[in-house]
Amino acid sequence: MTGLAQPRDDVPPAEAEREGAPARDGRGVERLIGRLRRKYGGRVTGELVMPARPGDFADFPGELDPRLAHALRGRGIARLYSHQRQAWEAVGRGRHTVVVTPTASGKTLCYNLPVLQAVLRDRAKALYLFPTKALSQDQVAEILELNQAGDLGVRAYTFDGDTPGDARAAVRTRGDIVVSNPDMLHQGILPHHTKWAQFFEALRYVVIDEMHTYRGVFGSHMANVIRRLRRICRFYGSDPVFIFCSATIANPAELAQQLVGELVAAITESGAPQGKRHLLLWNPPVINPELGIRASARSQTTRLARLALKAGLKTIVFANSRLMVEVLTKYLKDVFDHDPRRPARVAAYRGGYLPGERRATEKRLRAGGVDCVVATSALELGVDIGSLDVCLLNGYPGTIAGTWQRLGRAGRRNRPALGVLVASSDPLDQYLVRNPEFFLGSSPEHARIDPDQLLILMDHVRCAAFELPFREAERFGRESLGEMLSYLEGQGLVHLEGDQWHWMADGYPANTVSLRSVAEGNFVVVDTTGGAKEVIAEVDYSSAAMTIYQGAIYMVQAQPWQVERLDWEGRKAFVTRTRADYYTDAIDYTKLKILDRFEEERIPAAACARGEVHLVRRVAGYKKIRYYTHENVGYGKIDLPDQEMHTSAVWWQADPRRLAEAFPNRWQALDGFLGAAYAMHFVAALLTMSERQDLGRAVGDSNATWFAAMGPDGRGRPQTLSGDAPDLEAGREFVPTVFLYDNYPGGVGLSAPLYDLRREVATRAAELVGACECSHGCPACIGPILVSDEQRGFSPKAAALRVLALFAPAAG
Amino acid sequence: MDLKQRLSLLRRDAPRQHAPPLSDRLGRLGGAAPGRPMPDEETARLLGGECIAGGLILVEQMLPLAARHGAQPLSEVREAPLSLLAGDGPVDSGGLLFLDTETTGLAGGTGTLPFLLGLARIEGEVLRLRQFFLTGFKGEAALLEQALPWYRQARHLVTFNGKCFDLPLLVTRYRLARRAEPFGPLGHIDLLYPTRRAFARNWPDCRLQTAERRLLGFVRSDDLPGHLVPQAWFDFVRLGAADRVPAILLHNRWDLVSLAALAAALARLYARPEHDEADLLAIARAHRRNGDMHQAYRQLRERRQRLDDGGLLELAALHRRNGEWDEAAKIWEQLAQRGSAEALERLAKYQEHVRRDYRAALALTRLLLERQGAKPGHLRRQSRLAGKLGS
Repeated sequence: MTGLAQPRDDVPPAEAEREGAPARDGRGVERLIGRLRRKYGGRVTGELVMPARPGDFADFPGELDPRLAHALRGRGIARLYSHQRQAWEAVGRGRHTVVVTPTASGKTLCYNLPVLQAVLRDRAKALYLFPTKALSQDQVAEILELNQAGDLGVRAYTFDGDTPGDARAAVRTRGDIVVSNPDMLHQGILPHHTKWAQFFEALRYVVIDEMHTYRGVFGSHMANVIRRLRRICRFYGSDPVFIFCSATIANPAELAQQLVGELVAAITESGAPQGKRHLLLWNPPVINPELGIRASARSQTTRLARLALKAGLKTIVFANSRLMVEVLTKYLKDVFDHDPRRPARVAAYRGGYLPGERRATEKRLRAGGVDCVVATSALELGVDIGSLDVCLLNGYPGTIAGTWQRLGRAGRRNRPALGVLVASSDPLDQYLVRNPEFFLGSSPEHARIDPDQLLILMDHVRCAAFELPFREAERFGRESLGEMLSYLEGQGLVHLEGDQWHWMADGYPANTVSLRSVAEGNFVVVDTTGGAKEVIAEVDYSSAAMTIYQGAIYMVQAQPWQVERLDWEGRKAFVTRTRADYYTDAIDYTKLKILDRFEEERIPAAACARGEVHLVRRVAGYKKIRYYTHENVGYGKIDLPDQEMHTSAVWWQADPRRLAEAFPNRWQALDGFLGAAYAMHFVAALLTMSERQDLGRAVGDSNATWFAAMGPDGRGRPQTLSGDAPDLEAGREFVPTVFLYDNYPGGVGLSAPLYDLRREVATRAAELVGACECSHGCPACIGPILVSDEQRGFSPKAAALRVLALFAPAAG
Repeated sequence: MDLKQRLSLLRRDAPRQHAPPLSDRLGRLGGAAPGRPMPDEETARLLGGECIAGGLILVEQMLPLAARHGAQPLSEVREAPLSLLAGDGPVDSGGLLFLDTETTGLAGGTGTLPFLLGLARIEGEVLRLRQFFLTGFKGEAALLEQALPWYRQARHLVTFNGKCFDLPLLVTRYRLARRAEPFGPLGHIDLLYPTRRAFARNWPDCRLQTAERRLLGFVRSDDLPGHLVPQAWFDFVRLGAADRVPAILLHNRWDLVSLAALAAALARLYARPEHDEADLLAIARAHRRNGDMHQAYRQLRERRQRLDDGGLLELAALHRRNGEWDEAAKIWEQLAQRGSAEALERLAKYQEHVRRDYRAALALTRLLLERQGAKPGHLRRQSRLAGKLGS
């Protein structure tokens, strides 16, 4: 019996055929939506239908080079979309330009047209920067196709870490368009700019695609790399025009202006046609009303994915963590890929897979060989994966912008598409699905950068001094350059002679500066099963402590490996194949110490302040969680070095006397602080329009003698960093503190806007908790409550409200 | 709060990657009394040179070619067959320009400054050395300018690792000064490559000073180690600490003289590879690559007793090229008896195509199949030979 003749238990072949065929004309999507409404109407809390939109077209510009027009027609393009034409006009006037467009709206022509025109007419040069190598390669392939269609003779090359040494000279001297990434520009090109002299002299355009990824620390570094690039260009007598492309964010023009340091024209209306789109907000049903517990998002997402696949619809599932990608992939593979003789229908895609494996999955996706892909935000970027019908979000991605970007993955070529946002029990998720008008009416987030953050700025002043001597009259950023250079002189790095500051040290500063804030190098995961030694994955430094500790279950394409040993210094994790029926989840604690107070406001019952803090994070242990039942089947200890960070924070403290009046004992107060912090954290993320992971949250003592977290029994537990439990009642001082901190080394400027919103944070958090329908607290307001009210003897929800009333007396 | 305080506050407990890599050096510097830069004239006197422009000191010296450098007579450089090292036509010793720089670092890139440029050339019976020393940054334009006549008059540069280090740096400096780089018309003999080719197998490393000891018999005494050179110059520029500057110039002078001596020694070695540690096969292959089959052939044949299996196979290949089949076959047989599969295969081909002794060829092929398993090439030969025998 062949594999094909075997009847499949999930979809009878006849049904698959009957339902699969109409999917191609779009009725499959409509039918699925109808079915979801009929069967699960109560779970759909909000719905949005975006009608199909016709395209808005414009003719080729009159001055378009005929060879280029010919090439476009050869690729089946007879007219432009209106935004492509607007970009042409703006760039033609020599203005820096940012184009904000949805997925698959032909954004690449917005920059390829002016660039190719300049190459053909004037042999001008262009530099394209993409945040990842994979995107660079796609881009070169696309230019080459256009090139071939019109026989243009334009030379486009990638220049990155993979470019062989003997090809580099040719790229430098012969490339019309050089496609690279910020890290390569920073470490490989700018410090060797004399080798690129010809290129810089003729540089007319710099194209920066996926601009929305340049936020936070990475964006702050990028703005400084651009300062250095423009400085080098001035040396060679050129002043290139910058063309940015971005997914939707609240402030594209502002971000582009911060990146380039000059005014930028913004084009935000897409002229591309769009198919009809449905968006459903989906709340899992309540399964334990007493504890406010809902069915997991995971179970709902799996069910929706199964329905979509059975209806013959190509589906993408986004999960918010790499772990969840693996868990969902396993569950779906258990249904659809249990016969190893058939090609797999379900694939996982996430960061950490080896590049070759990712390329292979992308190729299978484009070729339509995969019916369902489960991915992290790694697929948010412009990786071309062809057209999909359904997009499922397992949990809110954390931002409005990220949500729309992921949803944009479905419904490319003018076909109706369905997106479903499945809420998790997280308060942010619950807030959104319960207040659909908030989500559907909200603008996407601001992308914030702080190019003058002192540590980052100093890093680039060093790099720039290496590249060219600074003149005394020069400027670099908003801080005083002279003062910065004097500081570097004190460190023995630069030397003032005449009116010039020269680099005078043995070293190569760019190699000590990483743009991506994790300077510590990747870990590799080495499979040692059966004496082999094969690298199966990479893990970045920041997530190593949480994912590859000794004893962890590490998954690749839903296959489990167990970590036998973690070599922290050597950056290696040795794993072996395992058949474990559980996965592991790390538990971490954070402790903060206040170093300096910048500003402070006292109200009668409390104080709120902003300042510098020192943070220690410890990954203390992990839980073993059984598949499907999700019960806790054990704990393990993790022995890893602490991670330390210096950043800025906003914190709230209650007046000790008022606190003592409000609570019968300190334990209850502590539970109140933990609940209040939980609610304040997500309100703060919403109000500052930042991503939740940009802000960290901690509850502890202001002197950092103890910190608190939710223990396995669901009660607040104070702990010292050495692991002892302090006696709360014994100490004379009891000043519990809620910290919300900027989650980047040095900070990227989040604490100042947060401090300005301090009253609203407390007020809105009190409103949120007060209005929640649960009885004693739930994951949607103050966090998961495991111990029922009776055992505890008091309501943690009421405790949190009491704390918030101290912080925001008006709302109390 | 001033900038320094703000930074130290930010850095106090920041991750280690922010720690300045120079901290230990700075610690040492911190103890030194703050000095003042030394006037150029005083520096010139100290170095026995003259100040030829603001910030630039020229030190000239003549060294008689009759002298020896270690065991190597310098005069040999005039007659040495240097074209064996260059591989691009005849080399006239009068057109050689020995070049070596001392720099502020080894990393390369635009922030690395060659603050000492050493040049040397042969003028009649002497080696004339010219060292351009910068006392700061402002003399660089004059340095770049003053060196031009010597570049113009030269035909070949001679360096040690200059292709990857000194030359790219100097080209960078000309570009930074917005001048055309003058090296285009010059040939370049980088002695690192012939040294490495001949000795990489038998020496622990192929640094210039290793070559001095093992090939020239020259040992430096009281040399300033290369890794201390940048700091010595920084201390001089910043603090006027001139005590180690003469040592920098001496270090550079030794490098230059070693270049001349090493060029002679290597040329002789490539003509007559008598050195015990030299890799005869690698040298013969270099000759072959340069199209000098005869040289390769002669060297291997004359030193047949010293050859290892690789060398013998190479010699056999050269015999075959010359049509000396018996000689070649003798070597292959000798090697085949020692178990060399490659020699066996050569012999099989020889028996099949030259001797047309298909039976012998088949026997050899079967031996090969036994030895190496069912390789497709062997199988094809076996069936072809069986066919030829059958008909």
